[in-house]
Amino acid sequence: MEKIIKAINLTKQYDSVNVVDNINLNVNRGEIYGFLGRNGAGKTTTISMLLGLIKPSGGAIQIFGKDFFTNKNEILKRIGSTIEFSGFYKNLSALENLKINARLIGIKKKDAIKEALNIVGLDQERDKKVGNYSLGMKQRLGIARAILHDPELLILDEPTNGLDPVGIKEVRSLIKTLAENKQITIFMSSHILSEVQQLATKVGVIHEGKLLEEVNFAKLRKNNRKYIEIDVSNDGKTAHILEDKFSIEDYEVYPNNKIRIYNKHDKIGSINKKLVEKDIEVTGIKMSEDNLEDYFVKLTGGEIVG
Amino acid sequence: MGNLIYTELIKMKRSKMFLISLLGALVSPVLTFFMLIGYNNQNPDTILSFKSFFSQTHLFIVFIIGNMLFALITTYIFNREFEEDTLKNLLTIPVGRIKLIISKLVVLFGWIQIILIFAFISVFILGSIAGFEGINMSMIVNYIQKYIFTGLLLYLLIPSIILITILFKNYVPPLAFSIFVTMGVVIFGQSKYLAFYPWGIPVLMTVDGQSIVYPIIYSWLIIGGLFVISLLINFIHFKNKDLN
Repeated sequence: MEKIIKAINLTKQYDSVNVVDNINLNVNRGEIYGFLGRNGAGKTTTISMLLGLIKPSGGAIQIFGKDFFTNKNEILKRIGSTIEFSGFYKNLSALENLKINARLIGIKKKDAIKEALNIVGLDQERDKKVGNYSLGMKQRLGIARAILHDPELLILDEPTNGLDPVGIKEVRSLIKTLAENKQITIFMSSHILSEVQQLATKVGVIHEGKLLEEVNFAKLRKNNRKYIEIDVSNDGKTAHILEDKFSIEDYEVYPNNKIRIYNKHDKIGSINKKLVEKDIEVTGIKMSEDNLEDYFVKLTGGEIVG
Repeated sequence: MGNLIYTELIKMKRSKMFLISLLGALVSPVLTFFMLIGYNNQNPDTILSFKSFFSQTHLFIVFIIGNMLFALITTYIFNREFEEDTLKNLLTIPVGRIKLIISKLVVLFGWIQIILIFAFISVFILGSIAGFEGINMSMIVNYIQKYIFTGLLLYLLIPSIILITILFKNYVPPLAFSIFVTMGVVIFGQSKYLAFYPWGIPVLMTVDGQSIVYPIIYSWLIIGGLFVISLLINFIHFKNKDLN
């Protein structure tokens, strides 16, 4: 599969602190890549490096298979992007703001601006001054500006940040439409798991500058983290029996004498029998699935917003 | 480059700053006008001459208003890209960072000349209405040249303001700097060392009756050197600057 973004040991250091720490990113053509992390995790810094706004302290970036730094201008022309809250000239209308981009990019297509405004549903508001736009309208206008030149790759930094629930829904459906109808590869950052979960085909989890996980959602769901939870009278003794008698190491001990076993589920009958034999009282057995939220929260040590 | 300059002009549409700058340009002619009228009322035997109106207005601009007003428009044109967070969009289009500075410098040159010509025209209109005397074609040509030349000299000081704006990404430091250097012009105004003070050199080179003690080439080297060096520092700094 064609790699659209490849970051190799990408690092950014400020005052001897690695705000982005040796991360490796792999985004394939056609993917919607959710770059998930809490506020301050290093998402915007990483995106700024991918767009050439910040110089990395170390590592390399390849986009469209080419080295970013030696082919920066050529590569940027094929990318559309929004960073944080999209900035516009407030004294100008939406149309005039987009005309600036169209002129500087050198867009020849006659209806490019109209088409982009149509896609984001701002065609009727095109003559309104951007200073009078709501935050949601500005975010949509930011996306219109990003898709003006039919980019192959869209890099969106927190595209739903600060929006109300209706705005979030609109932007989310817009991103989905762009990926499906225009086959654009999308790299989007978010601190909201449910957003990434609903949109992304792949997720990269960044925490304190480090990429903790990069995985396909499909694979993640396939692995599904199925477990059996048993309530016992003595978790220490139970753990010993699981390891010693059943060679189970993929388990976790939770408060209140609860133990979750992630594999060898077929052995639950024997496990139960053995525990009873060893005078351990089993007060409950249930099969469950760890939801993705739990999984990511655990991965980052908390604070990913569900 | 043509497209960049054109888009710089689009950005000015409906902007209040252009109007404010023209009002700023009116300050010198209007104050001078009332000053001369007041003097004439107290000394009825004097005449209201265009020559003194043009030269007093020019003095006001080159001593006090010019540096501060041009610092204001320079700061506006550069700082708004940070303040309105539009710079990241421009640089990811991509627009070359040095080209962006040059296009803004071109617009600033035009803007500064418009302000000076506007001040000149204001003198002409106010003087004509109030019946000032002694105007002729050679005086008009002479003072238009003087005003434009003053604009050019004050323009050479602009890159230092740009540098402060880019460094601090804020209106206050460059404007405070412009007030500070203007006070310097007032303080050194009568000193022979004005020749070595970049912000005083436009006074030395354009105000009638200034005694030039040191070879004028020194002043050219200083003001030209400041332009080139501060422009180069701008280029290097802005090219390598991280945009957080």
